[in-house]
Amino acid sequence: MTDPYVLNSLTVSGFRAYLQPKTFDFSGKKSLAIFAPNGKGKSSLVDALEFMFSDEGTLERIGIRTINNNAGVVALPHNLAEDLDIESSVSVTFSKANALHSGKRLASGNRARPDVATDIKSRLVVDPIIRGYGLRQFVEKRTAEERYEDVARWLDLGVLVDLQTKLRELRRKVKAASEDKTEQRQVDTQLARRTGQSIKVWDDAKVLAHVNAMVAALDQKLSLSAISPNDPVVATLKARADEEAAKVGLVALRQRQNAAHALLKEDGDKSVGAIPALESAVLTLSSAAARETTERAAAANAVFKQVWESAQTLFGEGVEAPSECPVCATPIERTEAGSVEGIRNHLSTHLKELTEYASAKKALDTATTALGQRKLAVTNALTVLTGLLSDADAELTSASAAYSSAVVQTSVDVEVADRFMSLLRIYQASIAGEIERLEKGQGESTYAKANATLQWAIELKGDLETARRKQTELKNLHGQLQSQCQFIGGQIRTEVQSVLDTLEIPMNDIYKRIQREQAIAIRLELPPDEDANQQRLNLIVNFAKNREGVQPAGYLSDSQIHSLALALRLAAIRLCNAEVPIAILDDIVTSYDADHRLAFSALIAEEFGGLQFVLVTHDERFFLYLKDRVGDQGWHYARILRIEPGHGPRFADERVSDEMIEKRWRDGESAANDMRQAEEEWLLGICREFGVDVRIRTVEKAYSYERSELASALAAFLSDRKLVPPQVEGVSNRFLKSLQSGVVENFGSHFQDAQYGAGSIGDEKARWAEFVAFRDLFVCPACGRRRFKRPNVGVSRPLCAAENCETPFSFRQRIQAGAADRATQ
Amino acid sequence: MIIEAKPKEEGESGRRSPEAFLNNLGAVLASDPARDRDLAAILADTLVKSEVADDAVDAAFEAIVDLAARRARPTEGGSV
Repeated sequence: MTDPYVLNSLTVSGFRAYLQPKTFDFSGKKSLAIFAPNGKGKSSLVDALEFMFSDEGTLERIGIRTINNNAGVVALPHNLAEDLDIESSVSVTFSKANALHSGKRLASGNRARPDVATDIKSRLVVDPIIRGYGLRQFVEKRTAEERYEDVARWLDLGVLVDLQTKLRELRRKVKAASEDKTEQRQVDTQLARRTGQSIKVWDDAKVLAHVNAMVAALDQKLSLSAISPNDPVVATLKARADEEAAKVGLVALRQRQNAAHALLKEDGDKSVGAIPALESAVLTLSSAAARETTERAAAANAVFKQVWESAQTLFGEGVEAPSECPVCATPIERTEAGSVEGIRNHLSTHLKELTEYASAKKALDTATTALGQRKLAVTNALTVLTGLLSDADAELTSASAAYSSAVVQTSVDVEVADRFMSLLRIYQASIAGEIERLEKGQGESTYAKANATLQWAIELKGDLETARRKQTELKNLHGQLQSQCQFIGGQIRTEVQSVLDTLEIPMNDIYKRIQREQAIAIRLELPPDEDANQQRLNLIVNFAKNREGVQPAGYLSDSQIHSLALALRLAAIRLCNAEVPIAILDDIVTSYDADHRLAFSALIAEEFGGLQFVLVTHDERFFLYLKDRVGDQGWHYARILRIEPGHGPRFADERVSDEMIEKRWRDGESAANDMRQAEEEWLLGICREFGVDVRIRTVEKAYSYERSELASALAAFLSDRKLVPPQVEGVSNRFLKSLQSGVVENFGSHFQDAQYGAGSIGDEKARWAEFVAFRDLFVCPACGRRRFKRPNVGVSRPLCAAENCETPFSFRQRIQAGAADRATQ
Repeated sequence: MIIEAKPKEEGESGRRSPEAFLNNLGAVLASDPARDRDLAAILADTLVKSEVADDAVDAAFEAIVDLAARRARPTEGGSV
């Protein structure tokens, strides 16, 4: 098995929600989970990966052009990127066998896909991106035929799907041909034209009567019993036609006409015969000789063909070239070519010249041979013609001899040729005129015409019978084709089902892990079909005793259908994408309750260690569950706190420090937003470390924490455990209460009792001092450290996180005045 | 118990490749005396194989029409 590709880093710049460049590093921990409320830019990260691998350089949901509901590629760059001169791009680095492969794709202008992304795309059998909103479609929206095609391609069986599609098309074409009567209609068209529309559709009796009427006009005793070459009248009619022609001298005239036509027959602009063929051969030879001369000169230096061919194996594309000349040991960079690429170009040019010369030489040899054959054909035809000429044709005989001699010597004088051709045309016109005069003298009723009509009728009947037999044969072959396609379809069906079975088991295992006792095993089933190559894939469930073998949609709950689709996709990714083992999940637990989120977190932790994940979610509970179950091993976790117009998503790991806030004030700026973030970060941290139960939020605020909510929960936690924060000298110490009462929820008005009042920097400083003083109360009473962990069973208070301490938390009752002083500075 | 991911390569996965499957199927078709061997040979040569040309359907169709025409001519005919 080849080494897999692993995502090493991802950089997003000026793309979708990301304005300033942001790099995600996967080199230390290969998987990433991001939590963010809606509209904070988390899906832009998934968009970046979809864009990077897409064939057209866009996202499925925006398309290429701005049309109908599509935003088009204009929606890819951040709307401020161009004004701020920030490049709109996505960059990736993948590692493979300890080597790094990087590539960048611009989101505006030339959106060419880098080679590494193209290579990875070719190795992705199953789309690794799973978006929550698209999951149900596979179960509910995709038809059985589409599902079959999807899954067969996931399982690397696309070539079998293609064969089935092609066989269907072939059967359609053969069936149509077996029912097509065009050739028979063409016979009727000819019949109608020849009989003056008196017979429009072939009818043996009518055609026989038509021919017999012509024959009876010549001899009433002659009558055919069938339009058949075996009818005795056929031979009689031919003999009488020959006799008639001989009697009036037509035979000899036609013989001479044929001899002249063998040399030259002109019909409008079209000329055929031995002479035009000779002229064409002369032109071809001339052209081939000129090309051979040119190519010979170009390849004059091509005396080292064997050396170059040997060198090409050493310097070919994809081959690790030697660093020095294998003959003289000169370093490659000091050779005349100067580089491996230069040598490759050199070899390519000269070997191409040799190839072209060989082609020109072959064409010259072929033209020379053809000219000899054409000359022989002309001299033979001249011999036949002159043998038929009489003394009255002495001038043509003389010109023919001169022309023949010139042809043999390949030095045809223009005057000799023109004189011969001129006399030949005069002779042909004379013969044709004489034939026409004799035929007119015979009248309409001749054995020649009756014989020609009979021969035409026999031939036309033969064509009709052949067309009918061909149609019968096509019908037989169509039946055979059906049978063979059924055999092929059966073989493919067996093959696909056996491979489907390898997906069905892991799919059900994943499904059961999420849905637990509610899960009913799902079957991936290829139903027997009436059409040999029309395959479908059904998802089947035995829902109840009286509902066996039913489609899941309509019987399973939303959550179950969601889980089923997710299980199928994850099983397929793991089974099929061994060369790029990555799963990119965008909000895939939306329809899950708490138990299912927990189960899915456990599933990832316990069963998917081999996959690399990029996971974004707006569900903080799932995010926390995941962190609890998977842990830090191989995963890092990030939160997007907000989205800033001049920056993009702001991550929690970009923590606000005390220094950042103080710098704001020194610069004369408001630090209200930074203070709010700092308070949120601290509250979230202390609640998580203490194991504070946050009350279940209302539906309207389902996915966002408010500081007041955290503050209330923390206050309740402390109160339950009789942990009373001591008062701090110099500050009012109402931090928690102010949050609980909601008077500081608005930006810029943190310290105003009126919720919408305008704040001042002085207010902010006072507020910040209050917060810092409160924060400083949370230290271990024994060792002074500031990290805590949840209480053990039987202990109500949080413990110091230090391994050798683990002292239950309590507030120190005496606070150093200096702490408060520092906080207010 | 969840089955571990299986690699795609033949041998490692214990599963024959689609290409090997098709080539074997083509050989079975072309050699089975119970079938129309001319037709089976056309299918095996054009479609039932791992490397299929872009115009394979047209090629197969023309070959079948030619076969029908050959069999329709009174003095010729393919073997069945």
